[in-house]
Amino acid sequence: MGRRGFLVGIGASAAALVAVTAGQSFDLLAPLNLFAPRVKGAGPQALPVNRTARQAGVTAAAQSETWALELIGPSGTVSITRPELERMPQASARLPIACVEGWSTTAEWEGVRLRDLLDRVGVPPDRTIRLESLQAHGPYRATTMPPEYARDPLTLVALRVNGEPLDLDHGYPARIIAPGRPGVLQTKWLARIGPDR
Amino acid sequence: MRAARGALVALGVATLGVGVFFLTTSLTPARLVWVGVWLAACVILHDGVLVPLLSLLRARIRRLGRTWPPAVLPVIESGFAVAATIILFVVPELWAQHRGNPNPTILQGAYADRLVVVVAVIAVVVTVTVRILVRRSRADGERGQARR
Amino acid sequence: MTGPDAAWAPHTDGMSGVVERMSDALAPRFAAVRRALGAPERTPRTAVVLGRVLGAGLVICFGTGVYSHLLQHPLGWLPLPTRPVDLYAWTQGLHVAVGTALLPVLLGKLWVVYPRLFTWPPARSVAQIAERASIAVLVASALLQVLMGTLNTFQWYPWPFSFTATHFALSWVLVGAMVVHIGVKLPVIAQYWRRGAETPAATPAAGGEEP
Repeated sequence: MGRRGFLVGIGASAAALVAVTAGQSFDLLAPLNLFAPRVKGAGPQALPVNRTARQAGVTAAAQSETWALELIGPSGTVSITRPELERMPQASARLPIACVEGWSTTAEWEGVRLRDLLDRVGVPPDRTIRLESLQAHGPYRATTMPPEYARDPLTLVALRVNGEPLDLDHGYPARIIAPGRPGVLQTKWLARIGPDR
Repeated sequence: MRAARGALVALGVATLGVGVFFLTTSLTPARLVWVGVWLAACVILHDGVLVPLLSLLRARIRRLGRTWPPAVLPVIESGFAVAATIILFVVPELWAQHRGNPNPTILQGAYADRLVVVVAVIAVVVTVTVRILVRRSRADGERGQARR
Repeated sequence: MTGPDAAWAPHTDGMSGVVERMSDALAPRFAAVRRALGAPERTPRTAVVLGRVLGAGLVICFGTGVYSHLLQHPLGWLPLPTRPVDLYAWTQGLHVAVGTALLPVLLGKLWVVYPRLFTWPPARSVAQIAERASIAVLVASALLQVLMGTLNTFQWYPWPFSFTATHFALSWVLVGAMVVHIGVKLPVIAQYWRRGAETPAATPAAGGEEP
Protein backbone atom coordinates (compact mmCIF):
# COMPACT_ATOMS: atom_id res chain seq x y z
CA MET A 1 0.00 0.00 0.00
CA GLY A 2 2.86 2.35 0.80
CA ARG A 3 4.46 1.93 -2.63
CA ARG A 4 1.27 2.25 -4.63
CA GLY A 5 0.09 5.08 -2.41
CA PHE A 6 3.25 7.00 -3.24
CA LEU A 7 2.79 6.60 -6.98
CA VAL A 8 -0.86 7.58 -6.66
CA GLY A 9 0.22 10.69 -4.77
CA ILE A 10 2.75 11.65 -7.43
CA GLY A 11 0.25 10.96 -10.21
CA ALA A 12 -2.44 12.98 -8.48
CA SER A 13 -0.02 15.89 -7.99
CA ALA A 14 0.94 15.92 -11.65
CA ALA A 15 -2.66 15.65 -12.80
CA ALA A 16 -3.80 18.40 -10.44
CA LEU A 17 -1.04 20.80 -11.43
CA VAL A 18 -1.65 20.32 -15.14
CA ALA A 19 -5.40 20.60 -14.67
CA VAL A 20 -5.15 24.03 -13.08
CA THR A 21 -2.49 25.47 -15.39
CA ALA A 22 -2.89 24.03 -18.89
CA GLY A 23 -6.10 25.88 -19.62
CA GLN A 24 -4.10 28.69 -21.19
CA SER A 25 -3.06 26.25 -23.93
CA PHE A 26 -5.89 23.76 -24.28
CA ASP A 27 -9.58 24.59 -24.64
CA LEU A 28 -10.60 21.44 -22.76
CA LEU A 29 -8.93 22.64 -19.56
CA ALA A 30 -9.87 26.31 -19.92
CA PRO A 31 -12.70 26.07 -17.31
CA LEU A 32 -10.20 24.78 -14.71
CA ASN A 33 -7.60 27.49 -15.34
CA LEU A 34 -6.91 28.70 -11.81
CA PHE A 35 -3.17 29.25 -11.86
CA ALA A 36 -1.92 29.73 -15.41
CA PRO A 37 -0.17 33.05 -16.03
CA ARG A 38 -2.61 33.76 -18.85
CA VAL A 39 -6.19 33.12 -19.78
CA LYS A 40 -7.42 32.16 -23.22
CA GLY A 41 -9.29 35.01 -24.79
CA ALA A 42 -8.26 37.54 -22.14
CA GLY A 43 -6.91 40.68 -23.70
CA PRO A 44 -7.78 43.44 -26.14
CA GLN A 45 -9.91 42.00 -28.97
CA ALA A 46 -10.07 38.70 -27.03
CA LEU A 47 -6.37 38.02 -27.58
CA PRO A 48 -3.57 38.05 -25.00
CA VAL A 49 -0.56 40.22 -25.72
CA ASN A 50 3.07 39.32 -25.27
CA ARG A 51 4.61 42.76 -25.68
CA THR A 52 2.58 45.94 -25.59
CA ALA A 53 3.12 48.87 -27.92
CA ARG A 54 4.47 50.92 -25.05
CA GLN A 55 6.92 48.17 -24.07
CA ALA A 56 8.11 48.10 -27.68
CA GLY A 57 8.39 51.89 -27.82
CA VAL A 58 6.30 52.23 -30.97
CA THR A 59 3.23 54.15 -29.82
CA ALA A 60 4.16 57.33 -31.70
CA ALA A 61 5.43 55.70 -34.87
CA ALA A 62 2.54 53.25 -35.12
CA GLN A 63 -0.11 55.95 -34.84
CA SER A 64 1.65 58.32 -37.21
CA GLU A 65 -0.46 59.69 -40.09
CA THR A 66 2.47 59.20 -42.44
CA TRP A 67 2.97 55.49 -41.81
CA ALA A 68 3.43 53.43 -44.95
CA LEU A 69 4.51 49.82 -45.46
CA GLU A 70 7.72 49.73 -47.47
CA LEU A 71 7.87 46.86 -49.95
CA ILE A 72 11.28 46.12 -51.44
CA GLY A 73 11.75 43.92 -54.49
CA PRO A 74 13.64 43.47 -57.75
CA SER A 75 11.20 45.71 -59.60
CA GLY A 76 11.67 48.53 -57.11
CA THR A 77 10.50 49.84 -53.75
CA VAL A 78 6.86 50.70 -53.11
CA SER A 79 5.32 52.47 -50.12
CA ILE A 80 1.72 51.54 -49.35
CA THR A 81 -0.36 53.39 -46.77
CA ARG A 82 -2.96 51.68 -44.63
CA PRO A 83 -5.93 53.09 -46.64
CA GLU A 84 -4.27 51.75 -49.78
CA LEU A 85 -3.80 48.36 -48.13
CA GLU A 86 -7.46 48.36 -47.15
CA ARG A 87 -8.44 48.99 -50.78
CA MET A 88 -6.50 45.97 -52.01
CA PRO A 89 -8.26 42.57 -52.29
CA GLN A 90 -8.72 41.27 -48.75
CA ALA A 91 -8.41 37.72 -47.54
CA SER A 92 -9.21 36.20 -44.18
CA ALA A 93 -7.66 33.42 -42.14
CA ARG A 94 -8.49 31.77 -38.84
CA LEU A 95 -5.11 31.37 -37.16
CA PRO A 96 -3.77 31.07 -33.61
CA ILE A 97 -1.24 33.24 -31.88
CA ALA A 98 0.93 30.72 -30.05
CA CYS A 99 3.64 31.86 -27.68
CA VAL A 100 6.83 30.09 -26.55
CA GLU A 101 5.37 30.46 -23.07
CA GLY A 102 2.81 27.83 -24.03
CA TRP A 103 -0.40 29.81 -24.30
CA SER A 104 -2.34 30.19 -27.51
CA THR A 105 -5.58 31.75 -28.70
CA THR A 106 -7.18 31.56 -32.15
CA ALA A 107 -8.58 34.60 -33.93
CA GLU A 108 -10.08 35.67 -37.24
CA TRP A 109 -7.63 37.80 -39.18
CA GLU A 110 -8.27 39.96 -42.25
CA GLY A 111 -5.76 41.64 -44.49
CA VAL A 112 -3.78 41.41 -47.69
CA ARG A 113 -2.10 38.16 -48.71
CA LEU A 114 1.65 38.50 -48.26
CA ARG A 115 2.27 36.73 -51.56
CA ASP A 116 0.19 39.36 -53.39
CA LEU A 117 2.39 42.09 -51.95
CA LEU A 118 5.55 40.17 -52.79
CA ASP A 119 4.33 39.63 -56.38
CA ARG A 120 3.71 43.35 -56.67
CA VAL A 121 7.41 44.07 -56.32
CA GLY A 122 8.56 40.95 -58.15
CA VAL A 123 10.08 38.96 -55.31
CA PRO A 124 10.76 35.42 -56.62
CA PRO A 125 8.72 32.64 -54.94
CA ASP A 126 11.74 30.79 -53.55
CA ARG A 127 13.19 33.70 -51.56
CA THR A 128 13.29 33.95 -47.77
CA ILE A 129 11.61 37.15 -46.69
CA ARG A 130 12.76 39.68 -44.09
CA LEU A 131 10.14 41.56 -42.10
CA GLU A 132 11.07 44.62 -40.09
CA SER A 133 9.06 46.23 -37.33
CA LEU A 134 8.80 49.86 -36.25
CA GLN A 135 10.33 48.53 -33.04
CA ALA A 136 13.85 49.94 -32.81
CA HIS A 137 15.34 47.49 -30.28
CA GLY A 138 14.88 43.88 -29.31
CA PRO A 139 15.81 40.48 -30.71
CA TYR A 140 12.59 40.17 -32.69
CA ARG A 141 12.45 43.62 -34.28
CA ALA A 142 13.30 41.95 -37.56
CA THR A 143 12.35 38.39 -38.48
CA THR A 144 12.94 36.12 -41.43
CA MET A 145 10.29 33.98 -43.05
CA PRO A 146 11.12 30.97 -45.23
CA PRO A 147 9.31 30.79 -48.59
CA GLU A 148 6.94 27.98 -47.58
CA TYR A 149 5.29 30.41 -45.15
CA ALA A 150 5.74 33.56 -47.24
CA ARG A 151 3.89 32.02 -50.18
CA ASP A 152 1.17 30.35 -48.13
CA PRO A 153 -2.33 31.66 -49.00
CA LEU A 154 -3.13 31.98 -45.30
CA THR A 155 -0.18 34.25 -44.53
CA LEU A 156 -1.53 37.77 -44.27
CA VAL A 157 -0.37 41.29 -43.66
CA ALA A 158 -3.23 41.64 -41.20
CA LEU A 159 -5.18 44.87 -40.78
CA ARG A 160 -8.14 43.60 -38.75
CA VAL A 161 -8.68 40.97 -36.07
CA ASN A 162 -11.96 39.50 -34.80
CA GLY A 163 -13.94 42.05 -36.84
CA GLU A 164 -12.16 45.20 -35.71
CA PRO A 165 -9.14 47.19 -36.86
CA LEU A 166 -6.02 45.90 -35.16
CA ASP A 167 -5.55 47.16 -31.63
CA LEU A 168 -2.34 49.10 -31.08
CA ASP A 169 -1.04 46.34 -28.79
CA HIS A 170 -1.81 43.75 -31.47
CA GLY A 171 0.31 45.49 -34.07
CA TYR A 172 -1.65 48.41 -35.58
CA PRO A 173 -1.27 49.54 -38.37
CA ALA A 174 -0.28 46.14 -39.78
CA ARG A 175 1.22 42.88 -38.53
CA ILE A 176 2.13 39.62 -40.13
CA ILE A 177 0.18 36.48 -39.30
CA ALA A 178 1.19 33.08 -40.66
CA PRO A 179 0.11 29.49 -39.95
CA GLY A 180 2.18 27.42 -37.52
CA ARG A 181 4.68 30.09 -36.51
CA PRO A 182 5.66 31.08 -32.95
CA GLY A 183 4.19 34.35 -31.70
CA VAL A 184 7.57 36.10 -31.58
CA LEU A 185 7.82 35.67 -35.36
CA GLN A 186 4.37 37.14 -36.07
CA THR A 187 5.96 40.55 -36.39
CA LYS A 188 3.87 43.49 -35.22
CA TRP A 189 3.95 47.16 -36.29
CA LEU A 190 5.36 46.30 -39.70
CA ALA A 191 7.65 48.83 -41.31
CA ARG A 192 9.41 47.05 -44.15
CA ILE A 193 9.14 43.79 -46.11
CA GLY A 194 11.65 42.51 -48.62
CA PRO A 195 13.86 39.60 -49.61
CA ASP A 196 16.38 38.51 -47.01
CA ARG A 197 19.97 39.02 -47.94
CA MET B 1 23.06 -6.20 -22.94
CA ARG B 2 26.66 -5.06 -22.69
CA ALA B 3 26.66 -3.75 -26.24
CA ALA B 4 23.40 -1.89 -25.67
CA ARG B 5 24.77 -0.31 -22.51
CA GLY B 6 27.94 0.75 -24.26
CA ALA B 7 26.01 2.22 -27.15
CA LEU B 8 23.69 4.16 -24.84
CA VAL B 9 26.54 5.56 -22.78
CA ALA B 10 28.41 6.55 -25.94
CA LEU B 11 25.31 8.20 -27.42
CA GLY B 12 24.64 9.97 -24.13
CA VAL B 13 28.18 11.30 -23.88
CA ALA B 14 27.99 12.52 -27.48
CA THR B 15 24.72 14.33 -26.76
CA LEU B 16 26.26 15.81 -23.61
CA GLY B 17 29.08 17.04 -25.83
CA VAL B 18 26.60 18.72 -28.16
CA GLY B 19 25.07 20.45 -25.14
CA VAL B 20 28.48 21.61 -23.94
CA PHE B 21 29.19 22.88 -27.45
CA PHE B 22 25.98 24.92 -27.48
CA LEU B 23 26.72 26.23 -23.99
CA THR B 24 30.24 27.33 -24.77
CA THR B 25 29.37 28.88 -28.13
CA SER B 26 26.34 30.85 -26.99
CA LEU B 27 27.46 32.03 -23.55
CA THR B 28 30.50 33.95 -22.36
CA PRO B 29 32.76 32.25 -19.80
CA ALA B 30 31.49 34.57 -17.08
CA ARG B 31 27.86 33.66 -17.85
CA LEU B 32 28.81 29.99 -18.00
CA VAL B 33 30.17 30.22 -14.48
CA TRP B 34 26.79 31.59 -13.40
CA VAL B 35 25.03 28.69 -15.10
CA GLY B 36 27.27 26.38 -13.07
CA VAL B 37 26.40 28.27 -9.90
CA TRP B 38 22.67 27.96 -10.58
CA LEU B 39 23.02 24.25 -11.40
CA ALA B 40 24.89 23.64 -8.16
CA ALA B 41 22.40 25.73 -6.19
CA CYS B 42 19.51 23.62 -7.49
CA VAL B 43 21.10 20.42 -6.26
CA ILE B 44 22.23 21.89 -2.94
CA LEU B 45 18.83 23.41 -2.18
CA HIS B 46 16.99 20.25 -3.15
CA ASP B 47 19.28 17.65 -1.56
CA GLY B 48 20.47 19.77 1.35
CA VAL B 49 17.34 21.66 2.35
CA LEU B 50 14.12 20.49 0.74
CA VAL B 51 14.41 16.72 1.14
CA PRO B 52 15.88 16.80 4.69
CA LEU B 53 13.06 19.09 5.83
CA LEU B 54 10.40 16.90 4.21
CA SER B 55 12.04 13.81 5.69
CA LEU B 56 11.89 15.27 9.20
CA LEU B 57 8.27 16.27 8.68
CA ARG B 58 7.37 12.83 7.46
CA ALA B 59 9.18 11.10 10.33
CA ARG B 60 7.21 13.24 12.78
CA ILE B 61 3.88 12.41 11.13
CA ARG B 62 4.74 8.72 11.04
CA ARG B 63 5.54 8.77 14.74
CA LEU B 64 2.24 10.52 15.47
CA GLY B 65 0.36 8.07 13.30
CA ARG B 66 1.68 4.86 14.83
CA THR B 67 -1.75 3.87 16.11
CA TRP B 68 -3.75 4.96 13.06
CA PRO B 69 -5.21 2.50 10.56
CA PRO B 70 -2.66 1.76 7.82
CA ALA B 71 -4.55 3.53 5.04
CA VAL B 72 -4.53 6.90 6.82
CA LEU B 73 -0.88 7.84 6.32
CA PRO B 74 -0.88 7.43 2.53
CA VAL B 75 -4.00 9.59 2.33
CA ILE B 76 -2.39 12.35 4.36
CA GLU B 77 0.87 12.09 2.44
CA SER B 78 -0.91 12.16 -0.92
CA GLY B 79 -2.95 15.19 0.09
CA PHE B 80 0.23 16.87 1.22
CA ALA B 81 1.95 16.03 -2.07
CA VAL B 82 -0.85 17.56 -4.15
CA ALA B 83 -1.03 20.68 -2.01
CA ALA B 84 2.75 21.08 -1.85
CA THR B 85 3.08 20.72 -5.63
CA ILE B 86 0.56 23.45 -6.30
CA ILE B 87 2.08 25.69 -3.63
CA LEU B 88 5.55 25.16 -5.12
CA PHE B 89 4.22 26.40 -8.47
CA VAL B 90 2.06 29.28 -7.25
CA VAL B 91 4.48 30.90 -4.78
CA PRO B 92 6.99 31.98 -7.47
CA GLU B 93 4.03 33.03 -9.58
CA LEU B 94 2.80 35.25 -6.76
CA TRP B 95 6.24 36.77 -6.51
CA ALA B 96 6.32 37.41 -10.26
CA GLN B 97 2.88 38.99 -9.97
CA HIS B 98 4.08 41.12 -7.07
CA ARG B 99 7.07 42.32 -9.09
CA GLY B 100 4.63 43.63 -11.62
CA ASN B 101 4.59 43.40 -15.39
CA PRO B 102 3.72 46.27 -17.74
CA ASN B 103 1.72 43.81 -19.81
CA PRO B 104 -1.94 43.79 -18.66
CA THR B 105 -2.69 40.33 -20.09
CA ILE B 106 -0.28 38.28 -17.98
CA LEU B 107 -0.47 37.23 -14.31
CA GLN B 108 -3.85 38.80 -13.75
CA GLY B 109 -5.50 36.12 -11.62
CA ALA B 110 -6.31 36.20 -7.91
CA TYR B 111 -3.78 33.45 -7.33
CA ALA B 112 -3.36 33.92 -3.59
CA ASP B 113 -7.09 33.67 -2.91
CA ARG B 114 -7.41 30.64 -5.16
CA LEU B 115 -4.43 28.96 -3.52
CA VAL B 116 -5.97 29.33 -0.09
CA VAL B 117 -9.23 27.81 -1.35
CA VAL B 118 -7.51 24.91 -3.13
CA VAL B 119 -5.37 24.02 -0.11
CA ALA B 120 -8.42 24.28 2.15
CA VAL B 121 -10.39 21.96 -0.13
CA ILE B 122 -7.56 19.42 -0.10
CA ALA B 123 -7.36 19.66 3.69
CA VAL B 124 -11.11 19.07 4.01
CA VAL B 125 -11.03 16.09 1.63
CA VAL B 126 -8.11 14.56 3.54
CA THR B 127 -9.74 15.14 6.92
CA VAL B 128 -13.07 13.65 5.84
CA THR B 129 -11.38 10.64 4.25
CA VAL B 130 -9.26 10.02 7.34
CA ARG B 131 -12.33 10.27 9.61
CA ILE B 132 -14.14 7.71 7.46
CA LEU B 133 -11.15 5.37 7.51
CA VAL B 134 -10.74 5.65 11.27
CA ARG B 135 -14.47 5.11 11.87
CA ARG B 136 -14.51 2.11 9.55
CA SER B 137 -11.49 0.51 11.19
CA ARG B 138 -12.97 1.09 14.62
CA ALA B 139 -16.24 -0.55 13.50
CA ASP B 140 -14.28 -3.49 12.07
CA GLY B 141 -12.38 -3.81 15.34
CA GLU B 142 -15.62 -3.87 17.36
CA ARG B 143 -17.17 -6.40 14.99
CA GLY B 144 -14.07 -8.56 15.34
CA GLN B 145 -14.31 -8.38 19.14
CA ALA B 146 -18.05 -9.17 19.09
CA ARG B 147 -17.39 -12.33 17.05
CA ARG B 148 -15.00 -13.72 19.65
CA MET C 1 43.22 -4.20 6.59
CA THR C 2 41.52 -6.60 4.23
CA GLY C 3 38.57 -6.55 1.84
CA PRO C 4 37.57 -4.02 -0.82
CA ASP C 5 38.77 -1.07 1.25
CA ALA C 6 42.34 -2.38 1.25
CA ALA C 7 42.99 -0.69 -2.09
CA TRP C 8 42.13 2.64 -0.52
CA ALA C 9 44.69 2.45 2.25
CA PRO C 10 47.91 0.70 1.18
CA HIS C 11 49.81 2.29 4.09
CA THR C 12 48.61 2.61 7.63
CA ASP C 13 50.59 5.74 8.52
CA GLY C 14 50.65 9.40 7.53
CA MET C 15 47.86 11.03 5.48
CA SER C 16 46.38 7.77 4.21
CA GLY C 17 46.09 6.58 7.82
CA VAL C 18 44.00 9.65 8.64
CA VAL C 19 41.86 9.11 5.56
CA GLU C 20 41.36 5.46 6.44
CA ARG C 21 40.31 6.29 10.00
CA MET C 22 37.92 8.97 8.72
CA SER C 23 36.51 6.55 6.19
CA ASP C 24 35.99 3.90 8.85
CA ALA C 25 34.23 6.44 11.06
CA LEU C 26 31.97 7.73 8.29
CA ALA C 27 30.94 4.41 6.80
CA PRO C 28 28.63 3.30 9.64
CA ARG C 29 27.20 6.82 10.01
CA PHE C 30 26.31 6.98 6.33
CA ALA C 31 24.84 3.49 6.57
CA ALA C 32 22.74 4.63 9.52
CA VAL C 33 21.43 7.60 7.51
CA ARG C 34 20.52 5.30 4.64
CA ARG C 35 18.66 3.01 7.04
CA ALA C 36 16.83 5.94 8.62
CA LEU C 37 15.75 7.03 5.15
CA GLY C 38 14.26 3.64 4.34
CA ALA C 39 10.67 3.79 3.22
CA PRO C 40 8.27 1.46 1.38
CA GLU C 41 8.42 3.54 -1.81
CA ARG C 42 12.23 3.63 -1.91
CA THR C 43 12.67 0.59 -4.13
CA PRO C 44 14.25 -0.02 -7.54
CA ARG C 45 10.80 -0.83 -8.92
CA THR C 46 9.40 2.59 -7.95
CA ALA C 47 12.52 4.22 -9.34
CA VAL C 48 11.99 2.43 -12.66
CA VAL C 49 8.27 3.26 -12.82
CA LEU C 50 8.90 6.96 -12.20
CA GLY C 51 11.98 6.88 -14.41
CA ARG C 52 9.88 5.66 -17.33
CA VAL C 53 7.44 8.53 -16.94
CA LEU C 54 10.27 11.05 -16.63
CA GLY C 55 11.99 9.62 -19.68
CA ALA C 56 8.86 9.74 -21.80
CA GLY C 57 8.08 13.27 -20.64
CA LEU C 58 11.62 14.41 -21.31
CA VAL C 59 11.52 13.03 -24.83
CA ILE C 60 8.29 14.95 -25.49
CA CYS C 61 9.69 18.16 -24.02
CA PHE C 62 12.94 17.77 -25.94
CA GLY C 63 11.22 17.06 -29.25
CA THR C 64 8.73 19.91 -28.94
CA GLY C 65 11.47 22.18 -27.64
CA VAL C 66 13.84 21.48 -30.51
CA TYR C 67 10.93 22.04 -32.92
CA SER C 68 10.30 25.42 -31.33
CA HIS C 69 14.00 26.23 -31.68
CA LEU C 70 14.02 25.13 -35.33
CA LEU C 71 11.09 27.38 -36.17
CA GLN C 72 13.04 30.33 -34.81
CA HIS C 73 16.35 29.27 -36.33
CA PRO C 74 15.47 27.40 -39.52
CA LEU C 75 18.06 25.19 -41.14
CA GLY C 76 18.22 26.44 -44.70
CA TRP C 77 17.82 23.00 -46.20
CA LEU C 78 14.92 21.75 -44.04
CA PRO C 79 11.46 23.04 -45.01
CA LEU C 80 9.13 23.51 -42.05
CA PRO C 81 5.47 22.45 -41.87
CA THR C 82 2.77 25.06 -42.50
CA ARG C 83 -0.15 22.73 -41.70
CA PRO C 84 -1.99 22.12 -39.48
CA VAL C 85 -2.21 25.82 -38.74
CA ASP C 86 -2.22 25.20 -35.00
CA LEU C 87 0.65 22.70 -35.01
CA TYR C 88 2.96 25.02 -33.09
CA ALA C 89 0.17 25.96 -30.68
CA TRP C 90 -0.18 22.25 -29.89
CA THR C 91 3.52 21.42 -29.67
CA GLN C 92 4.32 24.39 -27.47
CA GLY C 93 1.24 23.86 -25.31
CA LEU C 94 2.39 20.26 -24.89
CA HIS C 95 5.93 21.39 -24.12
CA VAL C 96 4.81 23.59 -21.23
CA ALA C 97 2.08 21.25 -19.96
CA VAL C 98 4.33 18.17 -19.94
CA GLY C 99 7.18 20.18 -18.43
CA THR C 100 4.82 21.34 -15.69
CA ALA C 101 3.57 17.79 -15.06
CA LEU C 102 7.16 16.60 -14.72
CA LEU C 103 7.77 18.82 -11.70
CA PRO C 104 6.17 16.44 -9.15
CA VAL C 105 7.40 13.37 -11.06
CA LEU C 106 10.99 14.64 -10.94
CA LEU C 107 10.75 15.50 -7.25
CA GLY C 108 9.18 12.09 -6.62
CA LYS C 109 11.95 10.26 -8.45
CA LEU C 110 14.63 12.20 -6.55
CA TRP C 111 12.82 11.42 -3.28
CA VAL C 112 12.86 7.69 -4.07
CA VAL C 113 16.58 7.52 -4.85
CA TYR C 114 17.70 10.06 -2.23
CA PRO C 115 19.33 7.49 0.11
CA ARG C 116 21.82 6.67 -2.64
CA LEU C 117 23.36 10.09 -2.02
CA PHE C 118 24.77 8.65 1.20
CA THR C 119 26.87 5.89 -0.30
CA TRP C 120 30.23 5.51 1.45
CA PRO C 121 32.88 5.43 0.14
CA PRO C 122 31.63 7.87 -2.52
CA ALA C 123 33.29 5.93 -5.34
CA ARG C 124 35.42 2.84 -5.67
CA SER C 125 36.68 3.38 -9.22
CA VAL C 126 37.08 5.98 -11.94
CA ALA C 127 33.99 4.56 -13.62
CA GLN C 128 31.97 5.14 -10.46
CA ILE C 129 33.28 8.69 -10.15
CA ALA C 130 32.18 9.30 -13.75
CA GLU C 131 28.79 7.77 -13.09
CA ARG C 132 28.18 9.84 -9.96
CA ALA C 133 29.30 12.94 -11.85
CA SER C 134 26.84 12.19 -14.63
CA ILE C 135 24.09 11.77 -12.04
CA ALA C 136 24.99 15.14 -10.56
CA VAL C 137 24.69 16.70 -14.02
CA LEU C 138 21.40 14.86 -14.63
CA VAL C 139 19.81 16.01 -11.37
CA ALA C 140 21.10 19.58 -11.62
CA SER C 141 20.09 20.13 -15.23
CA ALA C 142 16.67 18.51 -14.73
CA LEU C 143 15.90 20.76 -11.75
CA LEU C 144 17.21 23.91 -13.44
CA GLN C 145 15.40 23.25 -16.73
CA VAL C 146 12.05 22.83 -14.98
CA LEU C 147 12.72 25.92 -12.87
CA MET C 148 13.75 28.07 -15.84
CA GLY C 149 10.86 26.86 -17.97
CA THR C 150 8.34 27.62 -15.24
CA LEU C 151 9.71 31.08 -14.45
CA ASN C 152 9.77 31.88 -18.16
CA THR C 153 6.00 31.45 -18.26
CA PHE C 154 5.84 34.09 -15.51
CA GLN C 155 8.23 36.31 -17.54
CA TRP C 156 10.51 36.38 -14.50
CA TYR C 157 14.23 36.01 -15.21
CA PRO C 158 16.25 36.20 -11.96
CA TRP C 159 19.36 34.63 -13.53
CA PRO C 160 22.16 36.56 -15.28
CA PHE C 161 22.23 34.56 -18.51
CA SER C 162 20.08 34.32 -21.63
CA PHE C 163 16.99 32.16 -21.10
CA THR C 164 16.62 30.92 -24.68
CA ALA C 165 20.29 30.07 -25.24
CA THR C 166 20.72 28.35 -21.87
CA HIS C 167 17.40 26.47 -21.91
CA PHE C 168 18.20 25.13 -25.37
CA ALA C 169 21.82 24.16 -24.60
CA LEU C 170 20.98 22.58 -21.23
CA SER C 171 18.25 20.47 -22.87
CA TRP C 172 20.98 18.61 -24.79
CA VAL C 173 23.02 18.24 -21.60
CA LEU C 174 19.94 16.86 -19.82
CA VAL C 175 19.03 14.39 -22.54
CA GLY C 176 22.65 13.27 -22.83
CA ALA C 177 22.93 12.70 -19.09
CA MET C 178 19.62 10.83 -19.15
CA VAL C 179 20.78 8.50 -21.94
CA VAL C 180 24.02 7.81 -20.06
CA HIS C 181 21.93 7.07 -16.97
CA ILE C 182 19.72 4.63 -18.85
CA GLY C 183 22.80 2.91 -20.23
CA VAL C 184 24.35 2.53 -16.81
CA LYS C 185 21.11 1.34 -15.18
CA LEU C 186 19.93 -0.88 -18.02
CA PRO C 187 20.17 -4.15 -16.03
CA VAL C 188 18.16 -2.66 -13.16
CA ILE C 189 15.61 -1.20 -15.59
CA ALA C 190 15.23 -4.58 -17.30
CA GLN C 191 14.90 -6.43 -14.00
CA TYR C 192 12.21 -4.17 -12.55
CA TRP C 193 10.41 -3.25 -15.75
CA ARG C 194 7.50 -5.59 -15.02
CA ARG C 195 5.54 -5.78 -11.81
CA GLY C 196 6.28 -8.73 -9.52
CA ALA C 197 10.05 -8.58 -9.72
CA GLU C 198 10.09 -6.85 -6.34
CA THR C 199 12.37 -8.57 -3.85
CA PRO C 200 11.81 -7.19 -0.33
CA ALA C 201 15.47 -7.46 0.66
CA ALA C 202 16.82 -5.45 -2.24
CA THR C 203 16.17 -1.78 -1.47
CA PRO C 204 18.30 1.23 -2.42
CA ALA C 205 18.28 2.23 1.24
CA ALA C 206 20.54 -0.70 1.95
CA GLY C 207 22.39 -0.18 -1.33
CA GLY C 208 21.88 -3.84 -2.10
CA GLU C 209 20.54 -3.88 -5.64
CA GLU C 210 23.53 -2.58 -7.54
CA PRO C 211 24.91 -5.36 -9.79
